[in-house]
Formats: sequence, structure tokens, C-alpha cells
Amino acid sequence: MPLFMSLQTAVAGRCEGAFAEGQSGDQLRPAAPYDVSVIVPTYNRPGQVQECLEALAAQSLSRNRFEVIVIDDGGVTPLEPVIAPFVDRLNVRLVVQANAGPARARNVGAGIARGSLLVFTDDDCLPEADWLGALLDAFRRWPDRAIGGSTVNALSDNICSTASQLLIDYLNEHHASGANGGSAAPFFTSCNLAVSAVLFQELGGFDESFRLAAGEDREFCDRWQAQGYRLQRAPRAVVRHAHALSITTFLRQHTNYGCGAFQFQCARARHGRPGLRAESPSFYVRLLMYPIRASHRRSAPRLIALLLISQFANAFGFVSERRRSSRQPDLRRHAAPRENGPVRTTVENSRTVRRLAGTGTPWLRALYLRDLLRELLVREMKLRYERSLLGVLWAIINPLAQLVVFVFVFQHLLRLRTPNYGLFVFCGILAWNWTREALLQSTGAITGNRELIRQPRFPIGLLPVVALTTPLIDLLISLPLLMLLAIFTGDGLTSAILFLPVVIAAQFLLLQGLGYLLAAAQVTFRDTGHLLGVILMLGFYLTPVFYSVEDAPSGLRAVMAFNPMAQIITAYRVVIVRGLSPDLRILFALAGAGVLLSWAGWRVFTRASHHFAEEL
Amino acid sequence: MKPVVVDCVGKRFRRYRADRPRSIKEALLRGLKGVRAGTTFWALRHISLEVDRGRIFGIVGHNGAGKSTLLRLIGGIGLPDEGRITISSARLVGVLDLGAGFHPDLSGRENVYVNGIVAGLRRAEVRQRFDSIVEFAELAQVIDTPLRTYSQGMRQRLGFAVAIHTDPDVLLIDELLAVGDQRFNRKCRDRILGFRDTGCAVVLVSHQLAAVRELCDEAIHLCDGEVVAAGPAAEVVLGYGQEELDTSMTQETSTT
Repeated sequence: MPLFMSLQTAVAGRCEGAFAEGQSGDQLRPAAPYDVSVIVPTYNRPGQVQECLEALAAQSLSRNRFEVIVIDDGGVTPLEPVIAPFVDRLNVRLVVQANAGPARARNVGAGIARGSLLVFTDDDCLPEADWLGALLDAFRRWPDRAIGGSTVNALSDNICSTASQLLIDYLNEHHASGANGGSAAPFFTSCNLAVSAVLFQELGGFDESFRLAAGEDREFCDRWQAQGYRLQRAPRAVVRHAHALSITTFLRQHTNYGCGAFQFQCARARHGRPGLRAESPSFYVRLLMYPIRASHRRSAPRLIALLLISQFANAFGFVSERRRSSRQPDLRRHAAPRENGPVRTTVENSRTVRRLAGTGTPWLRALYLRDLLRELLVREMKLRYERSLLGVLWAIINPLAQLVVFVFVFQHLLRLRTPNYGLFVFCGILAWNWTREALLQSTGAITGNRELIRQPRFPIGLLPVVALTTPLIDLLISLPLLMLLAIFTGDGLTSAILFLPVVIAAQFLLLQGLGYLLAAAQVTFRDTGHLLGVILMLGFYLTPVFYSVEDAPSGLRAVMAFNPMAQIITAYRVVIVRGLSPDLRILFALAGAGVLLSWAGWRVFTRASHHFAEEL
Repeated sequence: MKPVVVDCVGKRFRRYRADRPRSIKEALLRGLKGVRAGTTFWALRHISLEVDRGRIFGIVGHNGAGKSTLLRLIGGIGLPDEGRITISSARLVGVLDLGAGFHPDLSGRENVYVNGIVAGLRRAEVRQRFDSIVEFAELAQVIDTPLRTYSQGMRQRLGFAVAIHTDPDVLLIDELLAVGDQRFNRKCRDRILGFRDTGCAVVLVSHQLAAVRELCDEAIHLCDGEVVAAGPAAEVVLGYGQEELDTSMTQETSTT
């Protein structure tokens, strides 16, 4: 750290030196020695900071009239080597802060800025040469307005970046056409925003409770207008935004925007202002039509799809942020900005901290859970086939052996007259094996993982899911074989096969609900497992695994109407053996029941989960 | 806001009777009321403590005094029956059971991945830190052999190495200062002190009074679920040691 500090002062010192040379003889400076202070928060993007500084060094505005403040928001790579070459070309300073988000970084920058106009941009932005000049002109005309330049997407080849920028353009256009009218717009993005330094401080700067680069600009502009100030567009002040997005980062960005939108709503509530209205359906329709209007004809379908996805991500972010904050009453109750960094979590009598895992945003948490699920599944698969010569082949050999036995017994000994019996019974075997294994394994999911339950913040709810996904993988491994069998012995596959994922999903939901219930029950009553064994044995005969519903006596057939597994297996057979589309009403009824059961199972499971650690 | 705030926390446990129904059949035969009945007792009562960033907090006490129960509650495992625990931290890591998720049939390498992710790291983070973990555990030669070939000490070292590579903001340690030989032990302590210096809040439970005195800033002494002494670690340990001495003396005199 001392090295860091000394370097920083060295850079700053050199800036001061350069400045003093430029202004030699001018001993006493007024309070605002520069016209403009450009504030650039950055996080782990040394390369882009360099390009941004390059663009700033090329401004047509004389370099003595503006300063640049780069705030490193606790990034990994030190930025001194990046900044140092610019010391002779720009009045540049670097400040390092512990990671606390861009809102705080901008406030820190504003705190030490010496210009009368604060201009905010981001590390991934490339301002055009007359950017500062245009902003300054606008500021001279309207000193008490917040000025927003125009932002264009610099990466027109990147479809995700284009979609993101399109969304912002649409919002701008939407707001501009609204009640405000004219060139005033309800919010400017913080990558191209200029405000008077005095008014910025008067308003208290950005709200530092915004952790992410999302929503803080909207909140600021909202507060700005609530104070009676106005917004002013400056279309000539152009920034080229070069934020390269992949589909993953695109999703994350829009999830974050959703989080930001919720925080914005909270911030409004803290200031005693009403919440926001939801946008009308026509807003979304026009949004989805926007790519066509905005002359992106060639890539319009993809853009529309991305915009649609972005709105779902946004809603997901909003909802999960709301859930998160409802678990953290502190956040809502106190208006005070939070301290740096860490996310607060609270345990109260009825609340619990462990399901929040150790990660900050919903998006990160989703990624973490994905990693965890994958790792636990891989562990499970490895353990199953560890030290066996044939390894994962057993996943195919097992059902095949069953198939051979069944065909021999029922076709050759008992003379069942079902056409294409092999394929017919193989469907039954695979579906039933999944059910059996899923239920047996999820029953032991909690009791068999004592040491994981005792891990702080371990998401216990994942364990039953792991337990029922492992046998699903077995099913998926055997699926190609089933397909081959259908092609060579049956009538071949038809497009009805597209319904297979729906059938699998319905079965998954049903199993998940049962899995949660069984896992929780097993903790208190260990005979759940034994009982389940008996039920599964009976179930095997009462479910048409090796016979068809039509062959069953009529009394049994009435029972089967209420046996979801009978319906599921029938659906598999309709799709694969007969090549027809399954009875969708029944399928959706099953999926709906699965959703309800999963929800109920989850409720019971989470209620009971507080006592798991004690009872094991 | 301090990262760990425990406010007047109590935890009640059921005292199991010998005739408690253990199966559904018994429960049904006896009527369901038998399941819930039974006496309860307070395993912890009126516990308050705060741990600030960069501090190490010690918990001492006899077996069964409630030390580990308290540590688990802080870790969010189970809920207190009264009072409130507030953890304001992004990354809470508990070294309560070393090597959660370790499996004897998997190699050391595979186990590091499982354990690291279970402890709250992303997969990519484990990959980045993998070499450093193995180096800390001093197991580079055997990292690809199955865990069942490891000695108890090697397993503990591996578990500890993973746990301390998770950059915790809050670190909970249960009785783990006895990991490995003296040299490794020293290394672990240095690491814990290093965490303290970077602003991590550490809570540790230990029977080794010398270690508590050396490492901790503050401590509490638990006895039958209640705090009997709290304050600077040296004083608390002194009082506890004295009591320990007294009881052993009385036991000796009573046996003679």
C-alpha cells in the first residue's frame, strides 16, 4: 500500500508540476482553476482507460481549461503505468478507492474536482474532439441545467451493444415525446452528463447506496428535477460508447438495470416521493418495434429478441432485488447511504442469512449457484462411476439389461401382445428409473450430506435438485439409444419428438416438489425412506411400466387416471413410439401441478430447513 | 456498523426423552402430541457480542458450554430462538467442519474444487487460487491421488488451505488451531493474523488458552450457555484458567 500511495502522489505531483509550468507567474488561483473537470470512474479496464484518456487528450478544448480525474474503484491492476504517459498531455489525477461502486467513485472525484463544470463519462467511452467544447457552450447558456450529450454505440458490429444502446435511445425518445416535451428528457445516462459543480454538491451528489452501475444516474436526474432544476440536451456533445457485450454480459447488465430500478424506487420512497408506475403495454410493443423504425432492418429480428430478453432480465433483477431487500430490513428503513462495499444481511427470528450465499448481486448469485450445481453434479457422477472399468457406460448398460429381461419375460414367456414391445418398454424403464432414483436420492439428500448442511451459507435447497438431476443425466445418456431404437425398430421419429422436453420438464417439476417434501420428511422421520421403498415397489406394478394402460383391468385403469406417472409414461410413449403429439391438456395440467407441488415443497422445505442442522 | 453483531441471543434445544417417538408408526399409535412434547432447555441465553473489522474475538469454555452452537448461529446455521444476529458482510466463511464435501474416493484436486465452491468461491476463482492452495497445504506431490490415501493431518491441511483462500470478510474458526504439526500451525496462525490486518473480522473457538491469549483481542467465557466473563482476551483467559485450575484441584482433593 505505501508503494501505491507514493506512486499516486508522484503522478499527482507531476500533474501539479505540469500545471504550474503552464500557468507560471499565476501564484494565487481562484477557487475554480479549470472550466471543466472530467470525472472517469473505472474498474478493471486499464486498456479502455487508456483509450478514453487518448480521446480526452485529443479534445479541441485547450488542455489548460480542463482537468481529468480518474477514480480507480478498487480494481486489481494498478493504473499508475496507464496514467503516467498522459501526465504531459493532460491535467490528469488518479484516485484509488476501496471498491464501492461508480456512484461513490464519482462523488469522490467531484469532491476533489477544481472545475466549475463537472463532466461525467465512463472508462469505456470515447468522446469526440469537440465534446467538452459543446458541453461548455451549453453550460454557458444554461448554467443551472444538467446537460446530457448524445451517446452513440461505437461497436455497431456487436449486436448486444447495439441492442443496449437502442434501448437507451428508445427511452430517451419515449421520454422526450412525453409530458416534458421539446428537448428536455427525464434522465441522462452518467456516461455523458455535465452539471455545475456547485449545484452537484448542493444536491449531495450521486446516491451511494447504488452499488452497481445502474439506476444511479436516473435517481440523480430525478432528484435534480424534484429540486426544480431542468435537464438540457446537447446533441453536439457526442460520446462513442464502446462497451463490448456478450450475451452473458448483456444479460448481467440488464439484470443490474432491474436491480437499479428497484433501488431507484426505494430512493424515491426515502425522499417521500411516490413510486413509479409500470409502463403501459404499448410502451413494450413500441420498444419491440423500435429496431425496425431505427433502420436496423437487417438485424432487426435478433435485436427484437435481445430487447425482449433484456426486459425479462430487467424484471428478474427488479424482483430479486426486492426479495433481497425485504430480507434486509435495514436497507429500507434507514435513509442513510450505506458504508463501503459489503452487502448487509440480517438474521432475525424468522429470517435467515444462509440462503443468500456469499455473493452480492442476484446475477452473481445465479452464476455461483450454477457453478455449485455443476460441481455437485460432477462430483456425484464421478463418484458413481469411480473405479469402474466401464464408467459411464453403466448408465446405458443398466436399462439395457432391464430391457432384455422384460422383453424375455413378458414377450416370450407371458406373450404380451403389445406391438414393438422393446421400444415400448424401454420408454417405461427410462422414465420409471428416473422417478425411482430421483425420489430415493432426494430422500437422502439432506441426511446424507450432513457436512454440507453445516457449511455457513450453503444453499441447502440445491441438494434435492442435485439428487434428481443426476438420474436425469442417466436418462439423457440413454436417450440417443432410445432414439436409435425408435428409428430402426419402430416407425421412425416424427416432429412430435419436439414435445419430449416438455414431458421431461413436467416430470422434473413433479419430482422436484416430491423431492423437497421427502428430503424434509426424512430428517425427522427416518422411516420415510423405508416407506418410499415399499411405495415405489407397489408403484412399479401399478404404473404401466411394462404393460400398457389398455391392457390393465378396468378397475385399475380408473386408478391410473389419477397416477401422474402413468400419464407421464403414456406421454413418453405417444411421443416416441407412436410419433404423435401428446395430450397437451393433460401435459400442461401435470406441469401446472408440478409447479404447485414444487412451490409447496419448497415452502415446507425452507420452513423445516432451520432445524436441519440440529436434527442431524 | 460492525460486521458481526450478536444481540441478546438465546437458543433452545429439545431435551430428548427416552420414549420419544422415532417413527411414524409410533407417533401415530401414541397420537401426534407425543412428537412435540418434551422439555426444552436453553443451550445459549443472553449472549451479546460485537466484532469489528480487523479484530479477533475468542470464545472459551468447557465442553458443552455452547461455544460451537454460538459459532454456528453466527454462521447462519439454524436460527436463534430469541435475540438477533446481524452479519454485514459479503463473504462469510466458516471453518466449522474442515473439508465439507470432501470425498475419500476423489483426488485431492477434485476435492479442492468441490470444497472451494461449497465454501462460496466461483469455479474460476478456485482455478486461479489452486496453485496457491496446494502450496499452502504442502501437498503438491500427492494432489492427484485419492483423498483416502491421505493421512488425517494432510486432509486437515488441505481443508484449512481451501478455507483461508476464500478472502473472507468474516471468518469463523472452530477448534482448528490444532491443525498439522507445529510449523504448519504457526503458518495458520500467521495467516489468521494476516486476515485480521486486512480488516477481516475473526471469531474463534478454542481450548488452547495460550493461542487465544496470543491471537485474540477480546474474548468471552461461556459456561452453561451464559457469558460469565467478557473483556480483553488476556483477562478472560486468566479467569478461565484460574477456574479450570480450581475445579481440577477440587476434583483432586475429592478423589484423595
